[in-house]
Amino acid sequence: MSVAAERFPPSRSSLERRASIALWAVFSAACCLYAVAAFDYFISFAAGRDGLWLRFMARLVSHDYAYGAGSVHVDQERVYAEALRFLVMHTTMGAIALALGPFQFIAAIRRRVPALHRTMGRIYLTTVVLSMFAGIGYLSMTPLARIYSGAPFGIALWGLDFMVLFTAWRAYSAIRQRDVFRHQAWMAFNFGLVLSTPGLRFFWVVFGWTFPQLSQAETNLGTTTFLLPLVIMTGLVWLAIQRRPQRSP
Amino acid sequence: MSSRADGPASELAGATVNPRPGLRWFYITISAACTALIVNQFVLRFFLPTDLLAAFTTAEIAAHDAAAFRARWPVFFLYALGSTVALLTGPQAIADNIAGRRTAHPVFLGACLGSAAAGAGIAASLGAESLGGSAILFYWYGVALLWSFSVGMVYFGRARRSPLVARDWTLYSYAIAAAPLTFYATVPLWVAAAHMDREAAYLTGATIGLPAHLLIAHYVIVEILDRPQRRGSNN
Repeated sequence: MSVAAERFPPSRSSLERRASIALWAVFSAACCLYAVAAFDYFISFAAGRDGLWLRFMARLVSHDYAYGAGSVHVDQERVYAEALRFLVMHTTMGAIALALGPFQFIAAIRRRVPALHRTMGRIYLTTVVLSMFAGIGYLSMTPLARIYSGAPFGIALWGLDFMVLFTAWRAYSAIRQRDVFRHQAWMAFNFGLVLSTPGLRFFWVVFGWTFPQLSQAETNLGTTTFLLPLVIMTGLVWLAIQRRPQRSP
Repeated sequence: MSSRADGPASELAGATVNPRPGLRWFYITISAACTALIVNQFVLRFFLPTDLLAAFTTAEIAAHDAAAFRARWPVFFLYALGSTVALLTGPQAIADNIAGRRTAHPVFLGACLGSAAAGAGIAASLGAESLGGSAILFYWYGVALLWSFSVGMVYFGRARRSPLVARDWTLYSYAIAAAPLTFYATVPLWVAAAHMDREAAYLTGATIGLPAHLLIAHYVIVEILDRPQRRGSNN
């Protein structure tokens, strides 16, 4: 049985199944590609060269938007240098979690090779927890006023870190009790939160195109106001679709 | 335990007919407090000296808010009305969904949509004059889209004859409706405890309130409402 056939009930149209597979494939590939850029970001920063993401954003939007006044590259250079050990850990561990995450939601992997799912799950939870602790380390040593876009973004990062840790704990606790439904429900919420990192960069680019008068710091703050609910709902939609075969006749 | 073949009615019959009795009072308390805050902040304080957050507002900001209200009072009224109706009908909609009653609750869902549209209308009419600057406009538009989407998911659940999906998204829709409660409770906190200016506190309250509400709604669904259903379930 194919991945799609296992994931979706046979009553669904062939077109709908194919569209879902295509969408998931694009999503997984985007997560993996972004994970490479995230892994590279602070390693390149430490080496004194421009990372893949910076070059990519400069090409997509403009050189001024990526490297000019108000950009994270200029605004946060000193702060990042001071907290580099935490930030390298934060982004490398987060990148691994982001690359593994999409595959954990594929029903065929869970059913056919549960050992692989469990191993990847352990790595995911370990890396996501390490990443969040490193994030808290960075936030602890950086005053709110010095964080990019100031206190509102800083508080949002604190909130994000705690919510990721809380949902990871609930998901782990559930699977230790062999409660698969609760585990999946919390993992959907958790991975939704992890998607906030690529989601933020996606909106930096989109708003860089649509609102060229705004600086990167302004688009960052604007995006922050709705980003967390958006990525959480992304996880919850997956849950609603996934549950449908079990919840409807 | 329900099986796939049982269908939605029996799923709910075996799963969630008897939720915690305290849950309804929890939602009624939230609705009452949130309604009082919204009516006070969006309408009443402009007619009577009753600003519940007066201690955290400067005379300059109060004058700015009053001028904004006078110029655009219809959208302020519409937002307050939509939110109030959504908050007052929300607990019944949740209770019916939990009990598996097939009531459509168009008033609750319509009020959510109306309030979302009015919120976007406030943002559109205020523009960058709004407290929080251009960043807060992203919030209003974002919430309007997400709230409308959430209501759409309720209908999606109904259309697919999946009452648990409809129930979950009714709860998420209500959680969004109740977001001003956390917003108005935390803005003074950020001003007093974190020494933020009111603009930063306003943005912080807007940013952190909604995810917290969704987390609480999710916790209620997963840890309280679905618990009886999961007993004995293996996937």
